Amino acid sequence: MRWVLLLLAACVSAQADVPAIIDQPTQESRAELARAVSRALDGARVALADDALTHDSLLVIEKAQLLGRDLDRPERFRLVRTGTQCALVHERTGRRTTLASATCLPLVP
Amino acid sequence: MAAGPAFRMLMIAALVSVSACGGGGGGGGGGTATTAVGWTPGIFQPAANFAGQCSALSENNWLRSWTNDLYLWYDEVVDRDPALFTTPAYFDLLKTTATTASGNPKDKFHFTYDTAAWQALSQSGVEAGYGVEWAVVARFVPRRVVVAYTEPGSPAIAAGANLARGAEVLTVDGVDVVNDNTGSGVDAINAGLFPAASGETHTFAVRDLGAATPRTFTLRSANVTLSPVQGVTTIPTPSGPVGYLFFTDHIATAESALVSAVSALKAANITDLVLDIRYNGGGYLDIASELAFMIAGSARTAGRTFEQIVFNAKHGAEPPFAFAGTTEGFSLAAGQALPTLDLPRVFVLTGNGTCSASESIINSLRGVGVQVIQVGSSTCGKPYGFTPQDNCGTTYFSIQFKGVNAIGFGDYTDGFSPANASGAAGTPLPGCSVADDLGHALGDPAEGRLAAALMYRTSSTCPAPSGFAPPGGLSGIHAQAAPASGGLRTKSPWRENRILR
Repeated sequence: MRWVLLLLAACVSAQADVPAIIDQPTQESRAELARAVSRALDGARVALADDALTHDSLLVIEKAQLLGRDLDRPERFRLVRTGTQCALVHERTGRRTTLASATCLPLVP
Repeated sequence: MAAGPAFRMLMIAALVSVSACGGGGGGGGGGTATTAVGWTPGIFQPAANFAGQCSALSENNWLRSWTNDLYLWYDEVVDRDPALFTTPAYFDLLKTTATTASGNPKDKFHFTYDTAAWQALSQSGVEAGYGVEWAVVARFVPRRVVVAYTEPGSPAIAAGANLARGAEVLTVDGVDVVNDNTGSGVDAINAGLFPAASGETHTFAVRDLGAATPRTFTLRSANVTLSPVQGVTTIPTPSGPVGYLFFTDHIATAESALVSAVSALKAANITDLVLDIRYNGGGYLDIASELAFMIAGSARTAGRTFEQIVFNAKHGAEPPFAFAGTTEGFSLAAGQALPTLDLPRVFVLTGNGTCSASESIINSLRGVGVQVIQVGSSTCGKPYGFTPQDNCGTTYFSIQFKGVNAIGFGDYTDGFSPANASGAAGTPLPGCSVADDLGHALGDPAEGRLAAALMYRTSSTCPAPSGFAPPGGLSGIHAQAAPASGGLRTKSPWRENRILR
């Protein structure tokens, strides 16, 4: 039994990330997404669109007010599905946050 | 020099202040000095000696040292005793008072921001509002506030509101926008025009373009996603198709939108491009570099400088920004080849909202020999930039660098002005002075500025000059560096768009 579980775990971890989008977001899933983004960015206040990540697997975050001649770069996050799990990956740091309340669909190109 | 008695006294005072502040650190601010800090004119300690202490005196000392180190014109700042001023008053004095040849202030961009607000983030292009950009044609009574453009899919164009360019706002929540000059009236107008958050509901009376009577409706603000590139069209002419591109914001999502737009224009084999940046206040400089490259092409830009950032004499210059030949990873994967139009000239439609990174497009293209023909009114005149700095909960914006093009030019503090605009102070460019035509849709070949560009393209002639700012210089959608009292902001502090008494 232990070997079976280990094997299953290995299979899950070996499953590839698939670009994903959020299906039918809820208040709860929106709040969870906003928390995940905020935590990845040192707790900054973040405004997201209600339809964030519902059309595209890329979420780009920038200062709410850009400088007129801004030398910074935005932060980028990718939504991926691994098996049945939905996770947000911060590209710059590789930090991965599982979104428990969101339902993900594989992104069809 | 730094080890003299004055320095020792400052250090002692700093330690006392830290103790008095409970250990210092950010946040809060606004305390009072617990110990007098000696001031020796012309002697400046490192700003770090005063950082995070948060008494009024240490904040002033921090500002004094920070300014002396990093302000672009630090040697034009009069050194005053920091103990004699409140912090806001002291910061206001920490800038040059010099004027340009035209008599305008050399430094028009000197302001502060609450740090928590400045550090707020958003999904690229998402902001609370209705999805309408107001053109505040007259900020003082009798005011005139008109719809400049709207965002696709926003509350502004939803059934019931159906706002479109040219609609004039008559009342907001029952307050007379045109004539009410009371403090409460102005506050109500600003609150309605520029909602601070999503979910606000306000009632508007507007008169649509061409309508005889007004109509009333309510608008509910939402987190609206801006479309930085709208209105990509091709205009057929006897001498070949002319591309028109309406570009409003140098935000991250503009990268993919601009690549798509330029690809479409390239596929249409356009012979000229009209780039409409009349409402574009700037943003990421890399986006400007990408667009300039896509217009000019690789042959004209290879090995050339897009813009070089020059600091004050204490810090010199950074390595030049080259023209970006590939995507930078803003909203597309990095490293993809950019499409190019390879044009020897470009027409730009401008107003006083054309600012900063938008002006960099103009200046950088001129630097590599692309002819820039300007139609509209003078640009805002901001070849400068900031490295904003927080101390004690306030973020300070003080000009720290200037951008110059491949031939070393960056002195357009009065903006760029069409050559036929008599009396305009900006760096003259070939083209036509034409007022914003709020009576036609953007991209309509009959719209005043676009029509003039098409006319100039054919005959090198202009209509009678009309693109002047009214007294006060506040025509168009974005005023420049408006005073910090009263009113609300739109996207950026230099894109002030306030109603004033």
